[in-house]
Amino acid sequence: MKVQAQNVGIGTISPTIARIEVVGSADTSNTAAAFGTDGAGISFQSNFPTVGFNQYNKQNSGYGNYMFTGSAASIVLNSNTGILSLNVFNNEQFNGIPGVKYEAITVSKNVFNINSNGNFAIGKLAENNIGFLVGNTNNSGNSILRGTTFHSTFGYNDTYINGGKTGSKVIINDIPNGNIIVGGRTEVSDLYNVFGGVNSLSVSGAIAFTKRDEHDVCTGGLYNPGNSSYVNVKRTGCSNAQPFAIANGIVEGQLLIIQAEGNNGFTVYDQNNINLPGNTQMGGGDIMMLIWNGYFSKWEQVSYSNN
Amino acid sequence: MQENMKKILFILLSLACFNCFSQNAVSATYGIEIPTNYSTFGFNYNCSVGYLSLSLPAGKTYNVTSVTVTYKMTALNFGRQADQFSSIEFLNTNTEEATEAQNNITAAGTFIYSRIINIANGNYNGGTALNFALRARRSWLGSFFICGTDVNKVDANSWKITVNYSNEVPYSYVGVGADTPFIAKLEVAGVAGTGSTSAVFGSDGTGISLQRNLAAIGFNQYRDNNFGFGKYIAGGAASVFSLNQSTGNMALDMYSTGIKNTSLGIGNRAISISNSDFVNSGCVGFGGNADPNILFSLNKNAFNTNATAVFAGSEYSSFFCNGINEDTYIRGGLNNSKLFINELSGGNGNVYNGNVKIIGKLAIGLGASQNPNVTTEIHGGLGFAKHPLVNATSGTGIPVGNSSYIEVASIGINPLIKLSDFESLGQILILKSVNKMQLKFSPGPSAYIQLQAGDTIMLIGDKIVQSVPGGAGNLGYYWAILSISHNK
Repeated sequence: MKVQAQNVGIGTISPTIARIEVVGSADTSNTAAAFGTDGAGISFQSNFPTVGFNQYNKQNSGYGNYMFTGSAASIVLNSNTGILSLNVFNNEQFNGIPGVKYEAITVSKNVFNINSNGNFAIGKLAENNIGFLVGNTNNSGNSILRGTTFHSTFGYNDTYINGGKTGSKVIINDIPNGNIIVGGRTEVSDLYNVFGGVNSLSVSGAIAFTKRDEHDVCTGGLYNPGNSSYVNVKRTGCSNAQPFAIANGIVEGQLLIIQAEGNNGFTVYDQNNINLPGNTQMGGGDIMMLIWNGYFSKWEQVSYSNN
Repeated sequence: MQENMKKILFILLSLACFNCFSQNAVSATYGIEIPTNYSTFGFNYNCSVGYLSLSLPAGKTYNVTSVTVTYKMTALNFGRQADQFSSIEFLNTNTEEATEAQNNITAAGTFIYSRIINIANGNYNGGTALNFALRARRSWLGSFFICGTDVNKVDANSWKITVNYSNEVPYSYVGVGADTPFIAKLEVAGVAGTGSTSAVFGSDGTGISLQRNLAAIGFNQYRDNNFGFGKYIAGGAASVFSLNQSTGNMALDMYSTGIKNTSLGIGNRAISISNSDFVNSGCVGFGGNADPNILFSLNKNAFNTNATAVFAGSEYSSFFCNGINEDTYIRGGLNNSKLFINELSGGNGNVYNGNVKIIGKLAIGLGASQNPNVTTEIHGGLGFAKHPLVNATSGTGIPVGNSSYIEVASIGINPLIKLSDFESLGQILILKSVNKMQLKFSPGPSAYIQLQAGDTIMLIGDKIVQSVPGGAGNLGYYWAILSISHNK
């Protein structure tokens, strides 16, 4: 030990980095300093730099040693890879006996790690392209995000996405053109214990087409349903010879419900891209359902109701 | 020198070993001859080696500064001194001299080898045994014995090792409260007062403390007693990262600002780590305690009024339990980003994989601020993906499966076509007939309908009462007709 100016050097005659600077380590270990060694204290280790909680390293290998009886942990920086890890040690996991003072640690578990670009991972190694990663586990699940009453859980059998309390909504992909792709089948139910549906979309309750287009065959020209399945159609002054023409559907199987309004009525002609039993005069209140057959490029009548 | 530094210097001078500049030596001599091994290169045999071991005195650390080596080798019976090769190895580190010792005398006789080597230099604990080997060989056989003493040998009682050491150790151990520090260069045992703080750094400001039982690193925090959460080193906020060695659990706790040397109040747990047993070790909790059965728990505190969690995208973020209503937003990160829900391999067409269950009402295309009124509201179009064209013969069933739109072409003249059972009550099926066929839609001899080319029929999976042979009024599940359109 040397003292120079007001700095204290242990293992160095020229301490310049800090007030107390320790160079070297004990025995063949890498433990430069230990504090509170009469109990479960703290150690500082070099190569790789480590802060040990009730842990130090006597042999410069393995997981190190228990400073005192009990569990232990360490935070270590792999100075080659830049990965910072927090590990917990508990020999009781291995042999049923708690860690014993000075004995070698035999069981280690990595809790989380942070890689050199700051990405964080729990339970597995951080990945360069993922900001926050939770690994898998054989516990009851790998993640839970809590609300006041209800929670969202991930990674163990079923995944639950919930709002946090009664009445909370779950809003999915409310961004421009935010489409949703469901890999399997979807069941919608107001009741928790409803039998699970087996169709692509099973609805235990009502389905409503709440986007209803309005179209006037006199002024609207070609009706383009686009992403619609429900249209209210009327004729405000032109002759009945003016046909109700429909643009092609945008996807195979698209449904279109045509509802006639008013007393004038209008005609849907069995021509061009519309396939009907025949020309159909639609009066007020009449309903026609069509389906788009992409193979034949036709709107084909499913039903007509002369109401 | 400031008063604090004087105290530190006093402690270190009191506890560290400072026997500076004195030189010491320990020697040993090998008592018997060492034969030489015939070898043109290197030492290939163990027969021609002697071993010497010397121990440093008991005590603290010693620094070996050099080793003096002397020995004699004798050439006889037409052997030549120039044929002798020898080398010292320091066995503690398996370090051998870089070059062999040799001479150029081409006659018999005895040659004295003497040199100082540094292969054992370094620091050693008191009592350490330093082990050396002398290996000898010859380059001329000259004998019936490959390994022997009849033409060249190391003389008995000639090999002497002297280890020169100093106990002025430049890299000494320092113990504070530890009489025999061995865990680390700097070892501190015990604490100040009745608390648990073993060391403090930067205590003239918001520094760091090191504590034992519970092992902790205090950021602007220390403990001078064994209860409560400790005290502030200086004015400001504080934090403690600790290990409970009994439970194995760790915690990072955050504390609001306080005044120097006053007690911390109850903090907020930022991170918690469980380590109770093998299965549950390493579970992490943010914003509160870890759940030992869940790898990652993100807890919601009353002050998390904006959200429990936000997963940011480049433009849009996903929020869990957002705002006072605790709504949850699941989003892609950019315009046009898609959201995949339960997109498991095998999900398509497999009843048991990748399903989604929504408890509550579903609104598609509805604004985030609005609520749906019925179970499913579609604010936009609805389409049924069409089942691949089915070519059906008379008497065969059409595999409807999980479809609501199917196109059927008959084979043969006006065959009788059957439908497979629906998969759930209320299943909708729109069937387009490509050509003429009879479609059977429920039990009974007359329960079929004639379809022409281009016709479209809509059916629903229904639960109806039917009379069946052998009984009456049995409840069965059958397709029922909703509408039929005889298109062209």
